[in-house]
Amino acid sequence: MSNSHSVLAKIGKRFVNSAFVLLVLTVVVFAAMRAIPGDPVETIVGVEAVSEETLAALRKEMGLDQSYVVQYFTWLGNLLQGDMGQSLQNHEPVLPILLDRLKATAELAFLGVLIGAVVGVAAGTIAGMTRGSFFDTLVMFVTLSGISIPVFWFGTILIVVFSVYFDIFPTGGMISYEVSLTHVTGFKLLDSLLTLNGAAFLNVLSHIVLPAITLSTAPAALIARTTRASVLETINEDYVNAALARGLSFPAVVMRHVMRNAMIPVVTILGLEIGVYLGGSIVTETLFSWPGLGRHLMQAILAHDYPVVQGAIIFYAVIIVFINLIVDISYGIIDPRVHA
Amino acid sequence: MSIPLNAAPGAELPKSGRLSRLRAGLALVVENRSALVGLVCVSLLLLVALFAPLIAPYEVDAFTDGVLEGPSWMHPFGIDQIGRDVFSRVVEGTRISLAVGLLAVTISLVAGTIIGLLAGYYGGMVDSVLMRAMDIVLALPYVLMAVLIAAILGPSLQNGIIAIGLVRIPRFARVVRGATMSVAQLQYVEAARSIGASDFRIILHEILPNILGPLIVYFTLSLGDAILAAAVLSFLGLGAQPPMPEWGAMLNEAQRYLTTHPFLSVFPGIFIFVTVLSFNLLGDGLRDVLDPKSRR
Amino acid sequence: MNDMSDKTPRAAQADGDLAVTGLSVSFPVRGGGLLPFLRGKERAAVRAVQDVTLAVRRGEMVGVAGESGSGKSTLARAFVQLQAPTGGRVTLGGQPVSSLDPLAFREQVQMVFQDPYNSLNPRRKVGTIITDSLVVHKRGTPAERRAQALEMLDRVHLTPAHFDRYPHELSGGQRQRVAIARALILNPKFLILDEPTSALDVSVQAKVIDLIQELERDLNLGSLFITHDLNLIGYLTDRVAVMYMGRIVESGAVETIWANPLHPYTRALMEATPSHKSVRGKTRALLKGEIPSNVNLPRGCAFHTRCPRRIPGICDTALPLPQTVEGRTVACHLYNDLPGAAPFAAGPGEEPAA
Repeated sequence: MSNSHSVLAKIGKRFVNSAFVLLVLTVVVFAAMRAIPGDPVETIVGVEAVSEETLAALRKEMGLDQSYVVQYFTWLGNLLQGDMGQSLQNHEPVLPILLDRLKATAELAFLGVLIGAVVGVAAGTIAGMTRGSFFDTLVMFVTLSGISIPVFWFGTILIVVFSVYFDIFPTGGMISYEVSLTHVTGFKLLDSLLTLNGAAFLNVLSHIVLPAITLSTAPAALIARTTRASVLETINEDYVNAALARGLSFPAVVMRHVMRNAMIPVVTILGLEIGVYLGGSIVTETLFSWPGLGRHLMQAILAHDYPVVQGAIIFYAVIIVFINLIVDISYGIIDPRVHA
Repeated sequence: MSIPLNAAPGAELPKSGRLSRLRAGLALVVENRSALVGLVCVSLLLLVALFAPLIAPYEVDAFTDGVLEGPSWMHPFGIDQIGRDVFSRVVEGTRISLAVGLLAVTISLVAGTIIGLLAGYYGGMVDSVLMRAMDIVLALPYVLMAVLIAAILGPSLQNGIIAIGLVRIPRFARVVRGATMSVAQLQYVEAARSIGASDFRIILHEILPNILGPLIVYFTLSLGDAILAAAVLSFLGLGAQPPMPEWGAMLNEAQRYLTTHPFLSVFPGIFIFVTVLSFNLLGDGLRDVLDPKSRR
Repeated sequence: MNDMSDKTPRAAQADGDLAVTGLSVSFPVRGGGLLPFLRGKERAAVRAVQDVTLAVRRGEMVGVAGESGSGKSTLARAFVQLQAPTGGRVTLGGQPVSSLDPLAFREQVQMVFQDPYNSLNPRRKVGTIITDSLVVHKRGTPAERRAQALEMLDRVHLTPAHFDRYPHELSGGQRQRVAIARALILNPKFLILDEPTSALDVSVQAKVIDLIQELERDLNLGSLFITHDLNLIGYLTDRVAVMYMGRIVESGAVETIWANPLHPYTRALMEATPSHKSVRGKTRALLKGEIPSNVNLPRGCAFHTRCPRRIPGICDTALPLPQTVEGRTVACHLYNDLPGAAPFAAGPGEEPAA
């Protein structure tokens, strides 16, 4: 009972911390956007010749005549209500576009991390069990390469080989123009399954394979190394030896005890490195013209579309902080030794 | 990626002074195959960077007599879209990448070490405030940090370096903080206090020398990461701008010719890969040598 | 070895004592989340040292004895200002040390730590470690400092060759000599020794003890010797204070107490010491049970949970006050003129009821 209190207290503390981090980040992003050279009003009206009065009126309308503090709190208030302003390019509200793009990012990221986790855990477990073997050495080298390889270059190679040379997969995009798909959830793989649209499913799948593999390299490598290390660590524990002594076969023991304990570092790694993987997803999306958040952000920055840029950065920050929070909390619950 | 501290540095090493300890350390590096490979590769890359003008047969911006030609004896890495010798540019790129990595990681090292030392040594409020600040930086991946900085200052290699350096500060701070906390509880720190040494003196003379091991390991591993990050930023257009022969920027330029002339994308990529791999091998090996307890 | 009839406390010097008065040190227990709020106002704390009054004069060695966890090391650290007291005060020559310049205080009071494998910076040479004391106190030129350090090395029976060695090139005993040199090069008046030999091999211990005794005599030091080894206290010190759970339970001249320990805890400790003459060969099972937690101290006398002479209804309710009994100070209800209290009969070998 007393334990549940302290767990709650810890969760509360983390929650406050996360909220604080996000709050400060909004200040940073706001300040950064105000520090951008150039008058936002003139950026909006562009090259059209407009009178000073019109500019002043626009400024007043946008609240730019007020102090930065007032501007910040107005902006923060809007932000909390889901109003991220309008895109300078097409004058559409930012939030709905970003939410839509986020779905594409989520599909890619989910598949990439899934591939990475499955391959990584499998390779790491086998390597750890056969320590010192050829396979182990190979895994260690390949994973080190996986950490060292530039994501975009690896993706480039994949495109050259599988799209250009063998012409198996498309070079980019998410779904071909000629394929129609009914909108249900906005997640295209899921929608095609829900509507039993086999053609669309295969089409999206063929688009997602290369970017997902590209994205999975870094997590796969890191997870494989972590899993291997914790398998090696756990294998020498007394209870594993005890299980072996009881007559359980080695693979059975590994499945039962070692794997479960090995999952904790895997979850932690994913949580800690989520920022790195999201960074990787921006690169991957750009390379494969994947219509996700990252590509949208890169296009926005080139077009000086600052409302979209600041919205996307806040989006990413929220995702990272949120996932860290979840990992922290679940880790604290799984392993009571972790202190606040 | 925490690196536990070797509680008794040099305890396993033979007993005769700094020089022979260095020699013994080198012997351990040589025994460790991956560290050796890493050391050799990093040395080679340093030589290439140092003597780049002597090695490169052409000026980086000089036009040769061909355009978009594949590898040949005259031009081992081919000729690019406006007639420049790719080999010469890649060689020159070694200089840029090593310098970029060194600069960025030095920013992280200096700021992260100071923050980590203060947080780990003083603990309490100082620790909480500094580490909360680090949490904020941690919520921004380097690409986003670069986007923010590029939005304000414009995209350039220099701003990319700042972004990469900033983003790694919390990681260094964490490594240094952890190591500092475990050294600060050792009796020789208390002994220094008992003779009246100031906090500054204790941090400088008692703690810093004893956390160098994990710091060197993390510095080496970070060099590879920073070089990789710089290439990514340049590839995205947020770092080095053409015509600078930075590897990532070269790959960015080569992107347009991917379907027709893929060879342009091969060599800069291989160099990034090999460079980063070398630093990671060396860092892993150094970790085995300097932190024998933290094999992973 | 236990014969110390020739050892009389030397007279107090005019420079004044190093003393603690009513000293308490407690550490707040970290963490616990909301619990302290739910339980009540008071936050849990480890009470390491409670209401300790003890003075060291120049030319005198005072022993502090007790099991691990008795607070004796915390007391030592409080004596040298490495641990801020939460109550009471530390005085030097009658002056509260908080009013002294920190460097001026450290010039006069130095410490030797328990573990010589831990108390020397592995990255610094012996010479640097020793001269560092002088550097911090801005004494002398580099050449003078070197000369002084070499002289100091000689005093602790090391050779000039050790000046350029690293700690890992030295044996445990040699390291502890370096630690002693580091403390004494400042020419302090008081030296606090926190179990200086407990981490050493038995064969080395005697030599280091001899050195400490020699230096103490030559330099007219006042020293506080912390140890759990009663034989050492008997051999080395003039006065002794026995600590249990942060409090001094019995203190006085060594020969008085050693001849006839009055506090049941002192007796138990002595009977648990193998070579003590009064109980040689006797059972060691006297001290039953674990030391209670320092966070939830027992009510009344802290020792009552393990005491063979416990008086029900008294020892577990009231704190015994220090009394002067038979030439020493003892804090035990047995000597408080309470009904039912019968002091120990003098003489060894008495078997208390289990």
